[in-house]
Amino acid sequence: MTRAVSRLRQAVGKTFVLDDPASLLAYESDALTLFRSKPSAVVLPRSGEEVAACVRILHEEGIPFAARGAGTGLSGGALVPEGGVVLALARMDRVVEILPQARMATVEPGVVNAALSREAKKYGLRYAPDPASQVVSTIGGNLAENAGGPQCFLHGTTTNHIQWVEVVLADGSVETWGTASGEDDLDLRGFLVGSEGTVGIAVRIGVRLIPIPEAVETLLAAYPDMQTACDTVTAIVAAGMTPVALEVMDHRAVEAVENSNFRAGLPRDAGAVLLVEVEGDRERVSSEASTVESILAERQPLEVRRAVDENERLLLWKARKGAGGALGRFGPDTYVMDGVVPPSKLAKVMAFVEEVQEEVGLPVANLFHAGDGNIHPHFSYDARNPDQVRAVEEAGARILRYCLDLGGSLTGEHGIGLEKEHLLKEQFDPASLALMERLRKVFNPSDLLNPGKGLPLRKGCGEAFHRHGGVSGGA
Amino acid sequence: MTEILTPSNLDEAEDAIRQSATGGHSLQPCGNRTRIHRHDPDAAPSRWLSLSSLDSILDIQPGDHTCTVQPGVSAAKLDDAMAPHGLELGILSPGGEDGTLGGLFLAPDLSLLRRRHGPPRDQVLGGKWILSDGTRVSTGSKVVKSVAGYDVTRLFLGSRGRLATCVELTLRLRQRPRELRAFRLGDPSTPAGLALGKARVSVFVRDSASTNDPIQGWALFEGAPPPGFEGQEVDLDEARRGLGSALGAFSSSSVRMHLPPGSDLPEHCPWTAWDPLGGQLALATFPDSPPSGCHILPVRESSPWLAPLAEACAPGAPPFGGEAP
Repeated sequence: MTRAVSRLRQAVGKTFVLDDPASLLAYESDALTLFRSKPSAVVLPRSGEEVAACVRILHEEGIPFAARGAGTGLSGGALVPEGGVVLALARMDRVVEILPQARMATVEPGVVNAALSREAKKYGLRYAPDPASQVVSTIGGNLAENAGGPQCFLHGTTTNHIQWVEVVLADGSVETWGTASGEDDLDLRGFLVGSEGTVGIAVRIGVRLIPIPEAVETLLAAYPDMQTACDTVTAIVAAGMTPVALEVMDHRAVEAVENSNFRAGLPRDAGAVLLVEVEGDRERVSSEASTVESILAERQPLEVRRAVDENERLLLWKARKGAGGALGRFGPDTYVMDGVVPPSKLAKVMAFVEEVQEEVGLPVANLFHAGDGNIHPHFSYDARNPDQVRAVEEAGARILRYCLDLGGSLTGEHGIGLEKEHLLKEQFDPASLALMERLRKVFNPSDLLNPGKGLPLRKGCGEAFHRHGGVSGGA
Repeated sequence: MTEILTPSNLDEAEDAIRQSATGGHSLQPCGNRTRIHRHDPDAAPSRWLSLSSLDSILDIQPGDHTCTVQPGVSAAKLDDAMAPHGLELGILSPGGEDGTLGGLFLAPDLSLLRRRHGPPRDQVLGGKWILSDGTRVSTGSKVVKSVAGYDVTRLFLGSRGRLATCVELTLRLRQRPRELRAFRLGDPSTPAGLALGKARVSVFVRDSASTNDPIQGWALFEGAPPPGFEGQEVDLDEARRGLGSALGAFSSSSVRMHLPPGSDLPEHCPWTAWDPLGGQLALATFPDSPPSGCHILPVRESSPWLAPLAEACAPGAPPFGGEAP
């Protein structure tokens, strides 16, 4: 390792290779603190050329490595096994160019999601995927996880907004996948997006931008219980409405928000609050908002209101996006689940979450992308208590299995990472998983590039990552 | 003459693939072969495997805006099934009547609704496939959002049947427009201004690539066009015929070019159809030098990754289509 560190320092400069224990501590986990693994070194390259040079060195030295953006991932996707090296790309944060007429931008992977939209706003444009972490998370990380967000109900996830990628492969070679039109024969770009950093490292990314809408209306409806809110979501989707976002927060989430700096005057007596946003040209927005409003009113809401101005609209979104952080008041740690069901099954799955919560006896708050059927139960627990860790992991696995029973998926936007690899065999049969493994080998033959992520761990590989008090091998 | 195998169910398709693999025959999956000149002009397999008889709509979930179909279903048949639910596929591509959905999705085909709903590939949520050694696999999911496992669906869709044979597709559906109004457009050099950008679809066509040929254009709006739009309202059928001729031009053109949406039409360009909203041009001939900002869309796969991917899909088995080009 000493020789490798020395070579890495030659490649990027002495200052930009960290190997002192205090610095490495910050890279031992991502936002899912259930898993920890301290790397041997962290490299902070400044360019694609430097990334390629580092990858060539690590490939030659046979050292496992993984790229990392802002570390906001929620599935342990950016951890390396002990002895491994993290390539932290946060310094590659340049918006290289914006082409307003073509509605395109070229960015480096370390550009923060919200920063890209701020730049694009100068041209009347924005970047659509908007994960709750968007003020921190990077486009490179979003690409690796195929990140979503509230607005993805209308605009799609990251894969729908990446046109081309300059990618450093596992041996340090560099290729460009995709085209300016986003169209290509063999869709390697599509295969890369969401591959959790196991296929290649994006070092330059061509993204699609969309116009800032002429008009936006945000509506809030409060219901006495979650089931009614879910039924209302199902009715909106079934009626063919296409709001840009359709979000639900339950009573506990509302309570947490209203007791935090994110408070927005949400009705504290509600069992669930539904946020709906429509956008487009004025005429369409006006008509769609009225239709949505009438559907919201059909199921005896406690309250239905529209944001009166942009300030109130932003306040409501600040509350929604800040809710996850506000839940910290319920316990020292939060375990955020990520499952998907068909929207028509939302009420069923939320009833099941409630049932599980009662059995587990730990507080659960729900805030989720209801239009997509993408649920996010947030379990509050104490990671120092092995029983609680075991309980939330088992509860999470039960909920995800139920999502599969209802025809859904194990993850909508957080990825499989280390967290859910043991469950993947319940979504895909052995032949399909074996195929994925063989396809990974085409791009990552020696498995040095982000080993052990996204697919079931091979025997012995799981022990490389320390499970913080939890159950090795999963529930 | 090349033999065409036409299995009537999944088991027969699997048997045909296994037998071809065992016998060392190269097999190329296809639908009704309406797009074959664009899929792979040089393909000369010893056998074709036509999936046109696998033409059942397996499941429709109107409340979730999804459906599951076999690959031999035509876009027109699916559209008829969607209409009573107020839904549509959100794709307007060549070959809607006779071509199969499998054929449509297994090439980077264009859609005149691309700007609104994205390229055709974005509408596919997952699928079931048979690899060239006869193994059945599934990819993706049946929900509109899933990042579980690799996005093998997109990889297979772009492979023109070289990596896997499609036997089932789960598709995302869109709300059908409640009201459509059709307009004839003037010369594209004097476009209907920014208002055209609010159209659901618009096309310009001309009979040949000669710049002397008259240009005709049509636009469809969902409801009334915005203020400032200039165009003569016409019968919906007339506009549909116009869209049909544009799709025909795209289908028969040997070259397609991507032109960034909002761009002016390049001068001296041998185009026969233009989709200004989607930024797509059908060209009669390969241009001497593509205008700045444009690029020629791929006609046929030539990626060096194809052969190793085919070997990874079915180690040791002959790849679909014979040796990769």
